[in-house]
Amino acid sequence: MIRGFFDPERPPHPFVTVAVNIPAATGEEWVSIEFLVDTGASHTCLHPLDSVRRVGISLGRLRDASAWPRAIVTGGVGGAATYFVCEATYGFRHDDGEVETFAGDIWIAELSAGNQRIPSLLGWDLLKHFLMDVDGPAQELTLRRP
Amino acid sequence: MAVFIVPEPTFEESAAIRNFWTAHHREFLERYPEQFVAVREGEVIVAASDLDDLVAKIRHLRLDPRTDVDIEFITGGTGSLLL
Repeated sequence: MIRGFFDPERPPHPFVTVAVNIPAATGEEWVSIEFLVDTGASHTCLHPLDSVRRVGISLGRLRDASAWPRAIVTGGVGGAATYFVCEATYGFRHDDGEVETFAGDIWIAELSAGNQRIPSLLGWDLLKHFLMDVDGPAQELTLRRP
Repeated sequence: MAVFIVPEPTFEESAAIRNFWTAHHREFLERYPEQFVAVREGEVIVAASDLDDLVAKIRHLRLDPRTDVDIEFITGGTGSLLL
């Protein structure tokens, strides 16, 4: 079982901490990211605040599409946005301390005026692997493998 | 596949960082509303309304935004997001 959390200062959103390795950005190093669990997101996304404070990507690189192997433009309620697609491996830590990994991609947001304050999102590309229990009144989130 | 992974920060350190921001949220909200705040060793060293400005201030102090400080955006909003 993987336990998430509700941050009392960021209501009412559920978060989960995930270890992430992004070879194009972190080399062999793993970093931990607190993702907002978003069942409406098709893909897991890294937004600029986490790109800077956790992954160490410079703001200049976040503005420069030529610095990334692949970029896509996608739509959301906020309008069109550009993301840089990178290979990534995710590590979810279970209650017993073991970390289960999943290989995939991560979408790294191009820096814009509107996305600096947005949390990173855990999308359906990873959530599809889990049974998820969200207890709103108790403010608890758990992910389990089927 | 279960493997041994130690991210930076560790899962425990990440929780401690979150607890720090939660514990100081009201205080920081009074002093730095709607601003990005950088903390080093428990003390606020710079704040700015824009991430660009904040990173520039951190670098001016010859510090690294990832390894030398932690950064949070301090808001009094109710967390309203439509993603």
